[in-house]
Amino acid sequence: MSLDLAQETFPALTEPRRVGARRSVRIPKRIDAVIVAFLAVAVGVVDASGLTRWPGFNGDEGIYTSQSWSVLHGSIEAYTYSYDHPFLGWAMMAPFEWLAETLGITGTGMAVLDARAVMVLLAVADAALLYGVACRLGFRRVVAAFTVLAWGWSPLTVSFARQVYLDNIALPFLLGALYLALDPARRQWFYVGAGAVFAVGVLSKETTLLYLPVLLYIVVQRTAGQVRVMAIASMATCSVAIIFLYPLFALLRGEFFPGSGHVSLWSEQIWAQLFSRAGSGSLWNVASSRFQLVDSWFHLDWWLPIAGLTGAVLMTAVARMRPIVVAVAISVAVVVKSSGYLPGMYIISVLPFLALCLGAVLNWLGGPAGAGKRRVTPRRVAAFTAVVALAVAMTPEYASGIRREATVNLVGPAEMADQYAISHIPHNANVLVDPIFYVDLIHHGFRHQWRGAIAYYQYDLDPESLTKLPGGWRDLDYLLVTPAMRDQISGKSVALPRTAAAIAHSRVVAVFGRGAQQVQVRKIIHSPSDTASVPKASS
Amino acid sequence: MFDFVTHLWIANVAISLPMVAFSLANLYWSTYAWHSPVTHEETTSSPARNDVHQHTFSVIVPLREEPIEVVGATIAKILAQTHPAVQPVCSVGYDDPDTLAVVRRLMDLYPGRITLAVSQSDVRNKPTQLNAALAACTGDVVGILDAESLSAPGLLSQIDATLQDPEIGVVQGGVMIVNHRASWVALRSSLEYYANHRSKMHFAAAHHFMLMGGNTVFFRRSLLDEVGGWDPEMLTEDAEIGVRLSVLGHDVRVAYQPHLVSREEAPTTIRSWVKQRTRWNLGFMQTIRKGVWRQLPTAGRRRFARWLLWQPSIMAISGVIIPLGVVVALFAPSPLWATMIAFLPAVPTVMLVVLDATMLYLFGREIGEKVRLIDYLLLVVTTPIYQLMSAYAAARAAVKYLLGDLRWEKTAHTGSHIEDIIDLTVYDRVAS
Repeated sequence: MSLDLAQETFPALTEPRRVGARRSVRIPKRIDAVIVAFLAVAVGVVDASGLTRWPGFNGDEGIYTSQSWSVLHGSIEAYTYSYDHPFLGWAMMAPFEWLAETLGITGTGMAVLDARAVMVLLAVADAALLYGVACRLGFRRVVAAFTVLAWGWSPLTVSFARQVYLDNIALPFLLGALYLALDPARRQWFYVGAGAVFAVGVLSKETTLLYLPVLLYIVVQRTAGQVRVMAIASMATCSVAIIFLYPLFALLRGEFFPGSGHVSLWSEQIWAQLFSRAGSGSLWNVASSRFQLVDSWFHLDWWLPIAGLTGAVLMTAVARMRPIVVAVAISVAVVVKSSGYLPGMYIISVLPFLALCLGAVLNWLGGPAGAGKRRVTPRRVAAFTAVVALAVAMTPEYASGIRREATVNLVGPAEMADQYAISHIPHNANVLVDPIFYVDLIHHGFRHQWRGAIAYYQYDLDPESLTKLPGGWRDLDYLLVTPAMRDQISGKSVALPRTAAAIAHSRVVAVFGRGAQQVQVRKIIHSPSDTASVPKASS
Repeated sequence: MFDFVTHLWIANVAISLPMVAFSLANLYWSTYAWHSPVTHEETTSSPARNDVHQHTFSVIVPLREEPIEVVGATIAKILAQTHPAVQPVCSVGYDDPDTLAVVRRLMDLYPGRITLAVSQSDVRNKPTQLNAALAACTGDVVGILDAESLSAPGLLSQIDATLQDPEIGVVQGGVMIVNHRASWVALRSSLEYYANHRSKMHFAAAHHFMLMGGNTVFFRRSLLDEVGGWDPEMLTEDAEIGVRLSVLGHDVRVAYQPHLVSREEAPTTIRSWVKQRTRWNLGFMQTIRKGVWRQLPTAGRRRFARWLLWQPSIMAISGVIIPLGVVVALFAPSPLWATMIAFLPAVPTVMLVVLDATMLYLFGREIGEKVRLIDYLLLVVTTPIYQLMSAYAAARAAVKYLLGDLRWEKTAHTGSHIEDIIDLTVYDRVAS
């Protein structure tokens, strides 16, 4: 691959532009709006069909759903805010919860599924922004559209995009920041805007900060001289100043530095993230949770990761694509090299960059856009063939993945347990729950926090728990036990002795689902007579 | 039902978002020259040829109690212009015998080259002196160079080339403060002049309304005659004549080039700085009251003019209100969201400090002088004092305005920037 060809396809980066001068990046036209509308529908429909069935609930989804409910009702979260993540992400979900409550659609299904619908809206926004980013990177329309579909229709993307994760909330801000930073006119205040939007992404999910070098690289690459100095200074300052409002918030609450009797940003977030959280092991150890996680990603889709990584290697030759390559490199480094905890949803922010690298190769194959009178050149035929061949090769994998994710029901047991709890458990009972049930019980008249619905994680770890529920399992009446909860009790990373004791002092009154998917409704054995009754089983 | 504390934080929240807006607007026009490669090129470019001369120049140098070192250096620089047709016009009040003597000495030194215009007015201010000098000007372009400003040799040739475009009637040249090492006040002033001439003036000119400076400005003689010269009532006659020219549809061209700027000295003490700033604020208030800006053709331009004239006062006030708001947010019990909103003005304030430092860096690069770490530190550390000073000057101007005290407070010229440039013994030789 020669650099000349690359420059020919992706024109030089830094020459000043005048109004009316030939641009290397097209001005958006009506056709772009049509394409974006099509992509939004294409991605939205695939994401939406089956979001109530696939994938199975992760406890984090319940946590963020219940926290957005809490924000709407006056506090950052239902329990002591532990600085595990900045709160802007779920705070921004609160207006949607408000909308749902105002429209009266709460309580009809699970609140977590309502929150998943919000995630689909965000994925639609991602699709539009990704198309914009691709166009500003010099992609032809057809290639940009292919890029968005390769991302949005990947079974890996679909599965994660539906889940209520902070990464999904941060992603549109990350893509929005890139879109602004790629402003064709290289305007300083668009860079400032990019910095501000990026800061919102970081305050939604702190790992977004990993991509700061990408943003800086784009601006350095596209500016020169005094304009560059001013652009970097103003963008970085705006971004950092907004991000620092978060530690300032902790400082105001007297919770920045560690101290006795309160949580602190320092010990829960900075120290924990950097040093003490249990690691995921080495990628090269097949038994490690890191290997299993990466394996599970590839199990959902190996096309996009492999094609994207290949593209990233090839695109190191193209100056304009190098910031995106850097983004992929940072992501890979975190997956391969870091020794710390690697969460599953980490892949969410990586996937658009992989798709961009794949698209960039196809764009490069097509040669310079709009050059020459001959519409059909051997190069374009080759590029077109490559797109078609790739599409044909990827289709079976994507199609079967999408079909599986649209039809297989992994949510059913939890949904049935939810309905059972609402209709069978007395509403004045204390129920220890996986947070995915938390808001539903509230919507159906249960109290919450330390009476009524009680989230199991905080029951064990919140400093207030011991004083609010000093009797341990004796203060409880029922438990809603999900697979995630059982995994956590048997796992080694966090000890949850109070939850384990509650399970040990309870009996099953109803089970939903089979094997590993099983969700149990359990009743605390307060007196010997409680053991006498026969467990009532349900499908 | 609301107690005092509740009122306090509600007011604080209500005021913080406008504060963010004002601060961002201030940052926006301060950085206009670097908004994009296009604006950077446009604010830096100049006519390609400047060796063809079509105009004749009269350059007014208004003088008031000036030492000979100061005036001599300024005149020498004017006479050393590469442009062949230059008439320096020294404007002196009849009641200022010392300065008259200084000019007479210089006229002996450069026989036949300097014109002396004596103002007979009893009002001692710059516009009356300018009007008196205008009558003595013979050139078809009239310029003003302040008594203490050293012009670059190629300046007039460049202005000549710029005025060869018949669309252009007024040219605002660049002014740079070079005594920035004298004190932190001078450092601040030099940075402010830099932002103004390098960036803000271009932004204003692009919006067809500009408050010109009083130094290194050049007018076609016909325009000055059309508007009847300077308004002798005005404390900032330079800005005010720009308003009248804007109303008549004459745009100003800003010509800023690092090698053609006039070198000038800034106040070095807080006292003289406050005097100068009070005069500017007071002058803008006068200009607002005079109301010529209301005759601008479109509502958008009138809005822009109003913003531009109020901007210095608003920024001065916000420099005090923002820190006060932060203190209130810290100590008045209020809901969390209210506290966070009240803290938002801190974002543009931090940006202001960093962008000031960035501009200092660029300023240093343009004058070819490395900015020392101590300069950056001084700049950052003095920010609160400077904002207090600005607010004090704005308040002082407001009080003077209400009391009707519109006397001219002259800025003293010490000539601290001159010594190394001109050989002072020349005056002694003439005297002996």
